[in-house]
Amino acid sequence: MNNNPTEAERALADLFEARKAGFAGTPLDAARESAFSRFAANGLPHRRVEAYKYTDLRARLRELPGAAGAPDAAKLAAVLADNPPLVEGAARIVIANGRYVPEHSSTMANVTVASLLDPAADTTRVGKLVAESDDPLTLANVGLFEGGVVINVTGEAGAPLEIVHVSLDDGLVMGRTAVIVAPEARVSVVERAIGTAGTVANDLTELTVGARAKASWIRIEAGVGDKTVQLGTLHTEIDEEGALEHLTVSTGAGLSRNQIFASIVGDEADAHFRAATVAIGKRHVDNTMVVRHDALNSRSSEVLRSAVGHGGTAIVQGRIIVDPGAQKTDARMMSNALFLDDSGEVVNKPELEIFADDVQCGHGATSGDIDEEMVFYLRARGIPQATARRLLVEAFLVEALDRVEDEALREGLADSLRAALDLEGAL
Amino acid sequence: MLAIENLHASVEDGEGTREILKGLDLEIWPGEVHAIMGPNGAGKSTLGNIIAGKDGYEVTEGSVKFLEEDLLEMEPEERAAAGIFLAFQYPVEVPGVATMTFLKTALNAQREARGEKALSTPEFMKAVKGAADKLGVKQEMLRRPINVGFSGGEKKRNEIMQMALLEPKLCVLDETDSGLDIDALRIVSEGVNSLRSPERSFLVITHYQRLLDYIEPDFVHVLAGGKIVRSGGPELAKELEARGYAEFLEAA
Amino acid sequence: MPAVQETIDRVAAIDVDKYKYGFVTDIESEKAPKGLNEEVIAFISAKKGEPQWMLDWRLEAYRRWLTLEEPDWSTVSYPKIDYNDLYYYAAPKVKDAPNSLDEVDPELLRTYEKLGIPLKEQEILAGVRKQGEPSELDEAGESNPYGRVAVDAVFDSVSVVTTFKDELAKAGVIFCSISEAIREHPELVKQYLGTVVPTSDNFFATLNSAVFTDGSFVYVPPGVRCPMELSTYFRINEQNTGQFERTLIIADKGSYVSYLEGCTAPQRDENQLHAAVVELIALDDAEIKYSTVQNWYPGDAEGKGGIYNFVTKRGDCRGKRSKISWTQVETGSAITWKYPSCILRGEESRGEFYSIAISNGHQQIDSGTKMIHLGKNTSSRIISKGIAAGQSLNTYRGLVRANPRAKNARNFTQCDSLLIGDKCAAVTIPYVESRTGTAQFEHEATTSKISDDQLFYCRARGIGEEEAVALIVNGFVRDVIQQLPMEFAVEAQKLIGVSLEGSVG
Repeated sequence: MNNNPTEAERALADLFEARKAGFAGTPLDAARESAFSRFAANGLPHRRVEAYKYTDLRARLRELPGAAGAPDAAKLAAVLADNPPLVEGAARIVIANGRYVPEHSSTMANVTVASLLDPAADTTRVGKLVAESDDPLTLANVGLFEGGVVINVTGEAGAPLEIVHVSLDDGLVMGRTAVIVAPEARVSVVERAIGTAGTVANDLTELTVGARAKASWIRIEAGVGDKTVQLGTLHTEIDEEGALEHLTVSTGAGLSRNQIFASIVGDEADAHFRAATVAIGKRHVDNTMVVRHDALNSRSSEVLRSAVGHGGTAIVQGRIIVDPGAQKTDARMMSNALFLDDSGEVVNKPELEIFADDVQCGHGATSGDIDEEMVFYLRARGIPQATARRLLVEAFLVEALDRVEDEALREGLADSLRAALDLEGAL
Repeated sequence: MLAIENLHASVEDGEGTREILKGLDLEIWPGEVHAIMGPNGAGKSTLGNIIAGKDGYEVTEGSVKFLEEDLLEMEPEERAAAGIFLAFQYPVEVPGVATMTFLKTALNAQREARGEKALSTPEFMKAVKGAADKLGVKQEMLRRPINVGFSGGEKKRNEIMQMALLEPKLCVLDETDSGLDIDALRIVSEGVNSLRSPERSFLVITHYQRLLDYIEPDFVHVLAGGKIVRSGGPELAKELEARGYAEFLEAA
Repeated sequence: MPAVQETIDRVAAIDVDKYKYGFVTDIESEKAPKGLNEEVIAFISAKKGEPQWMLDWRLEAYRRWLTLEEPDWSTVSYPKIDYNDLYYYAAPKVKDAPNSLDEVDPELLRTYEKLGIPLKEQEILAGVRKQGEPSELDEAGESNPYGRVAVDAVFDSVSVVTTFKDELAKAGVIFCSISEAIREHPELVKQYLGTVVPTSDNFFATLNSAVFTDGSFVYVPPGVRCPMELSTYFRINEQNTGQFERTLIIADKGSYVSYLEGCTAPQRDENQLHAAVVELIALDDAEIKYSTVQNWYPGDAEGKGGIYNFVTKRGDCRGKRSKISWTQVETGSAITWKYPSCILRGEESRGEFYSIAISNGHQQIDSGTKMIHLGKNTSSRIISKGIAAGQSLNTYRGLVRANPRAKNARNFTQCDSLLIGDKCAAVTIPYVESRTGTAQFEHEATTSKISDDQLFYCRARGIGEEEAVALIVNGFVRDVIQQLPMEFAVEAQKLIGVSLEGSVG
C-alpha cells in the first residue's frame, strides 16, 4: 500500500477485502489478489506517473461512489427498451452494473458467449493479454471486476455484435470482456455505454485477433454529464495477417480516458485506429494508445481528430514501438485538434521508439484554430461565417469515421458528434 | 455596378506594412467585361481579394461601391449574396466537406439572405446538373470533398461551375487562366462566355493576353505600381503582348 | 556543394575509430582536494578571488543540491556517479594571470593549436584553420566572411586566454571569463546570473551553481552589433576532473551577437563529468545566435570511457521582438543530456532550435529543446535531425507549450531520425501543449533508414558505401548546417563524416 492513501484508494482496498470472500471460484480469481496488490502498491496514478501526466486520477478521483449492486430487472428492461441497437439486426450482449445479463443478451452462429463468473466457462485464454501489464486501471479491474463475458468467435459472425455497458445506479462499475477471434474468423463489434450521470466506470477488454482473422471494433463513449467518469482499457493482440479496425467516438464525460494497448505479434498484420473526440465545457477526454510492432511487414495507423471549446480538454498520447527485428514496419500516427474558441487545452504527446532500422514510421500533431483560408472560401460563396465554421468542424470530425462501412451507423455517429458540438452553444 | 475611387490598400506581412494599391480608380457598368492586366506584384490579386472581402488587407483611403452600397462595410458572405463572385486563383481545398453539400449550403444561404425561399433537393439537383454539364464537371467530382485531389484544370472548372450555379452580378476572375492547358482554357472560357448578359459584369484579372482571345473584353486596364496607368479597348491587350510591361513599370 | 566532397575525402583519409582530439597535454596543474564539501567550494571561490556574495550564492546552491535526487526520467543509463570521487577544480599552474599570449604556457598554446583553435592573432586574421592545412574556403573559391573570431579558451577549470579584448572593448562589448566578470562587472553578474536558470532549477544546474569554475561572460550594450564572432573552446584535460563551466550572455536592447562554442577532451578510460550551465538573455529587439559543436570524447568502440555531458542551456527572450537561436551539432560524449531552451516572454519574440545529434558506438543521447510561449505573437521553430548508428540510443525529447496568454503563438517542429544499422535505436518524445485556441502548433516526425534506392544510386555512380552514407547524411542534415556560421559549418560536416566511420557494413 502506498504510504498516504486517499479516501478513494482506501475505499478500493476496502472493496477488495469485502469482495474477497465472495469470489466466484473461477480460475480468474487466482490473478485477482496479485493484480490488486500491485495496483494498491502505487495507488491511483497521478501526474508524476509519466503515462498519467495529463490525467491525474489521484487528484480527480479523491472520492468514489459505492460499488454498484446487482441491477434492478425492471429498470434495466426500461433502459434497454429506450436504447435499441444502433445497428439493425445486431446481436446484443448486456453487461449491467458490471454483470453479464444473459436474459437480455442474444447471440448468433459462430459466436459463443459465457459468463466470466461461470466456473464451467472456458477462460483459459482470458487474462493472457493483461498478464504483463502494469497499467493501474487494468490491474484495478483484474482485481475487482464484478463480472463480464468471454466471447469466442469461431467463424464469420453473420451480424454485428453490440456490447452494451449499462450503469443504473450512479455507482462504481468494473465490467470485463474478453473476445477471442479464431483464425480466419470475422466479427464486427459496437461497444457502447449507457449510464447514469454519477457513474464511475472502469471497463477492461481483451481482444485477440487470430491469424488471418478480421475484427472491427467501434467504441462509443459518451458520458451523460460532467460528473460521469468513463475509463476504458483495451488490450489487443493481432496475429499473422490478421486485421483490426478500431474506432473510438468520444463526446466526453467529465473525465474520460480511453486506453489502447495493441501488440502486433504476427507478420503481415494490420492494426488501424481512429478516434473522433469532442470535449466541450467541463469535459476531459484522454486517448492514450500504445502500439507495439513485434513482427515483420506489419502496418499500423492512428488518426485522431479532436475538437475542444469552452474550457474542454483533449489529451492524445500515442506511442509507436518497433521492437528489434520488426523490419519493414510501416507505422503512422496523426493527431489533429481544433479549438472552437480561445479556451481549453490540447496536449499531443506522440512518441516513437524505434529499435529496427528498415522501417517507415512517423507521426504528426497539430493544434490550432480553424483554417481561415477555408472559412473565407466558404464565405466568398455566401455561406455565413458561423455556418462555415460549423460545416468545417463537422467535416473535420466526421473524416475520422471514414472507415465505418455501415452507412446508417456512420450517420448515427456523425449525428452524435454534431449533437456534442451543440453543447453549451459551442458553435 | 462597381465604382472604385482612389483606393489605397496595404497588407501586413512579416516585414511590416506594405502599400500595394496606391490610388486605384475603376468603374464597371452592367454588361461590361473589363480586363485588368499587369506584371507580377502589381496588386492584381489584392484588388480581387479586397472586392471579395478577404482579411489581411487594410484600406487606408478611397471607396468601393457596389450597386450604390459601400462594399467595404459588408462581410464576405453579404457580398456574395449581393452578387459578387470571386473565382479564386488558387481554389482552397476543404477536406471532408462534399462539394454537393457545400454548393447547396452556399446557394440556399444566398437565397435566404436575399429573402428568397430555399430550393428543394430536386430543384437544387437540377440546377447543379445544368451547371455541371455545361462545364464538363462529372457527378463523381461533386461527391468528392471540395477541390481535394482535383487537378489544376478541374479546380478552375469547378470555380466557373459554381459561378454558373450561383448566378452572380459581378464576376471577378483572378488569373483563371493560370495552370490551364488549351483544352481546359477553352472549356472555362466557353463557360464564362455563356454567362455573359446585359445585366452581368466581369472583371478578368490576368497576366497574359491569351485568355482575352477567348473572353473578349470591352475595356483593358494596365495595373502597375498599385494604380491603373493606362486604359483602352481590346487592342491594348495586343499591344501589351507585343511590347511587354517594361515601359509601364518605368511609368509607375 | 564542395564541402560534401570535402567530407568524403576526410572520411576516406582518416583511420576508423580514432578520436583525433584524444591526446593529453602534459602540463602541471593545481587542483582542489578531491570531493565535494563546503570547504572545496570556499577553496574554488577563494582561488577565483570572489566577493562574499558569490560564495554565499554558491553555498546556498550546494545546500539545496544536497536535498536533490539525480533525475532518472531520461532514456540514458549510466553507472551511479560518485560525486565525492571527483576533482572540482583543476588549473594549469601559472605564476600570475597572463597579460598576453606570450605569458601563456606554450604547452597550452600547442594544445589549442592541435585542436585547430586559432589563438594567435595573426592566425585569426588569416581565418580559421589548422596550421599547415589548406583552407577549405579558399578552395571553394569563397572568401571567409568571418575573418576574425574572438576566442575565450577554457582549460579544465579556468579560462586561459581571451583574445581581441581591446577591439571588443572599443565597441563596448564585454567578453571575458566569468571569473573576471564577477570581479570586474559585479553589477551585471548580480543582475543577471541565475535569472534564467535559477540555482534551484535541476540537479545538475544546482551542482553547477555551487561549483562552477569558469566559463564565458558576454555583455553587448544597447544598439551594438558585435563586430565579430565570439567563441569559446572548452577542453577537459585532467583526469577525474569535472568541468562545470558557466556562461552568461546578455544582449541589451537592439544588440546582436553570435557566439560559438566548441568542446573536446582527451581519450581516457574513465568517464568524465561535464555539467555546464548557459544562460542567455535577450532584451528588446536583441538577437543572440548560439552555436555549438560538441565533440567531447565519446568513449571507445566497447563503450568504455567518454564524457558524461549533463548540460542546462536556456535562453530568455525577455524583451519585445527579441530572438534567440540555438544551433547544435552533437557528435561527442558517452552520454548527452541537454535541452537548449527558449522562454518566449517578450511579445513577438522568437526562439529557434536547430540540432544535429549523431550517436555511434555505445553513445547515448537524450537531447531536444523546450519552447515556452508566454508572450503574445511569439513564434518558434524546431528542426532536429537525429542519426543513430552502431549500438547507440538517440532520443529527441522536446516540449512546446503555449500558456493561455500566449495569443497567436506559432510553432513548427520537424523532427527526423535516421537509423544506420539494426542495433541502434531512435526515440522521439515530443510534448505539445496548447492552452489557447489562437496558438497554431504543427509537429512532424519521421524515422527511417537511408533509402536503399539512394544508396544504390550513389554506388552505381562509383561512390563507395561509406562515402555514399556520408553524402546522404549530409543532405539529411543540410537544413541545420545552413544555420551555422561558415567555419563551423565546414567543421561540422567533417565531424559528421568522422562520427559515422565504421557505421556501415
